[in-house]
Amino acid sequence: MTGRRRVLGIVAVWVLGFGVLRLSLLAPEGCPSVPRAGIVASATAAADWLANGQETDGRYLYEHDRATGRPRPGYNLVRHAGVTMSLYQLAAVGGEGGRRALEAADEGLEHMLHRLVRAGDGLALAARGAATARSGASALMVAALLDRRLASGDEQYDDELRALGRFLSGQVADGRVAEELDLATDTPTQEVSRYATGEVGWALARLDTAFPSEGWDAPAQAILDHLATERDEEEGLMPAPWPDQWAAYLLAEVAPQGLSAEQVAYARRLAERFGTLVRFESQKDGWPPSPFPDPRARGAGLGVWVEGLGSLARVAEVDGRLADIGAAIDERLACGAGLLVARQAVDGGPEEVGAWFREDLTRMDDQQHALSALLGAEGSLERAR
Amino acid sequence: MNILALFLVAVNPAALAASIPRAALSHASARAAFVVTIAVVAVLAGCSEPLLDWLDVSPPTFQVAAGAVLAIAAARSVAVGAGPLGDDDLSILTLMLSPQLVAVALTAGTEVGTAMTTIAAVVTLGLSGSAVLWQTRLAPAVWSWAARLLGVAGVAVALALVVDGVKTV
Repeated sequence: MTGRRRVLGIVAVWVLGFGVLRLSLLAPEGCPSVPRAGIVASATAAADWLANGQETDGRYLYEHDRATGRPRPGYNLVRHAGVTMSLYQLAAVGGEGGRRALEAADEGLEHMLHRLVRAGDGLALAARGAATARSGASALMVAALLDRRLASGDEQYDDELRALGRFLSGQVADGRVAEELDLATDTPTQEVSRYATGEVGWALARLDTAFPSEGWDAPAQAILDHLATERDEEEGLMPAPWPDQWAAYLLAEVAPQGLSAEQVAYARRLAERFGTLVRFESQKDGWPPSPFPDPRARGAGLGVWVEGLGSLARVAEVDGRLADIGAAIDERLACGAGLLVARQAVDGGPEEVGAWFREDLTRMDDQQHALSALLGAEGSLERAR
Repeated sequence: MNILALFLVAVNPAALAASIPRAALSHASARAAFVVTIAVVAVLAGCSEPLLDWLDVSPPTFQVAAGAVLAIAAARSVAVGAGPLGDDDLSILTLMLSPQLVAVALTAGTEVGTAMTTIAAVVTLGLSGSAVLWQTRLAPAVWSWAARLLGVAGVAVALALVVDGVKTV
């Protein structure tokens, strides 16, 4: 082989190798920079999508297919509670968008108040005719009511809050949370849920913040310890830690009172997980076109990761043991929020504008998680500035 | 991550000892290849942060890619060992200034800075030069198997590099 051909061969290997990397592992991290006003505007557009699709009975548009221009059937009461919570979060920000969100959330709340049933020595949220009450639905209703309290200063639902809290406390044993309550026998079921554990822990911790010295902290701490030390292994959630934004919310709620070493270690592992997920997601726009399904995360997926990072940013602010990763969390948080804003639909009818579509589909929790994520990011990034 | 171990598996002195003819060290240009390699590593380490900014990738993302490059090179060493090159200065330079060394220099530059990265390169390339000088003391097959063993270590180090990159916020 001549020297010239060898040089060309070597150059070809380098160029080809770099090209393959650049289209895969080394694809650019596309992190759109979005000002504070852009983040709030995006959250408001998401809330308007939820409000515009609301029916007279307080239910929201559940799922919309952009390709057919039609809604898809189905409903989920846990997601209803989560959506209502996210609307109250925007209501707390204020402004005209916040006022519209408050109106829609109050209609969504009415829907839930009509579905409260006796459970243990408290109340649980359950779909009409259901044989069981799901812990997650009641937990997110607690979060919604507490956000309403923050947004309006109105304490008229404090009795319902405490009754829901009593039901949730009864679902907890050694930090493990029963996914459902059998309404016929009034006993918790054996199953656990990867979502409900963190949701219930967060709801109870928030109840403790709102009503100190009433004993809500003990079950909340037990749940957090279980999440930090046992849950992933017990439930076979691999690779650990499972990216649980509800656990991150719980950590942020408890952090001002002080976290144990295990809880801080868990917060660090969660931040690593969420950070990697956002970093990887930010590279996907640099991948070559593919005949396979869209590899990008749906709005709910990306929203959940940004929610997690927003909460962990708050933990890092108050716990010096995480100070070394505070700046990195803020960086990923800004990146995730920028991606959310950039991927939101801005054209089309009221069923499209303000939503996050993947494969032409959007579901109400896409807007819920993205909305909560954007508001959480806005708050944390504002404090960081 | 121990920076010296990282350079040791990226350079693989046993593979260089098995590949570079001892006689080549008498050529000024072959000796220059060592110096050029060290200089390039130093420059890459010094420019690593602006270079990664220009590529729009964060250090942990680059670390994952560097781990993948190192893993492929190390796996190749395990699979094929190392054999003698022609008495060709271009081959010597391309053998030393390998993709995995470039990748490792960039990722080490962001981690430990230019000085430490350059020292690690000087130590491992110096070790490689010594191995080439002593290559006749051991049979070529021994060097080749030593290169394979370092390749195994390289795969392990590469996996650790990837895991570390993935686990960084």
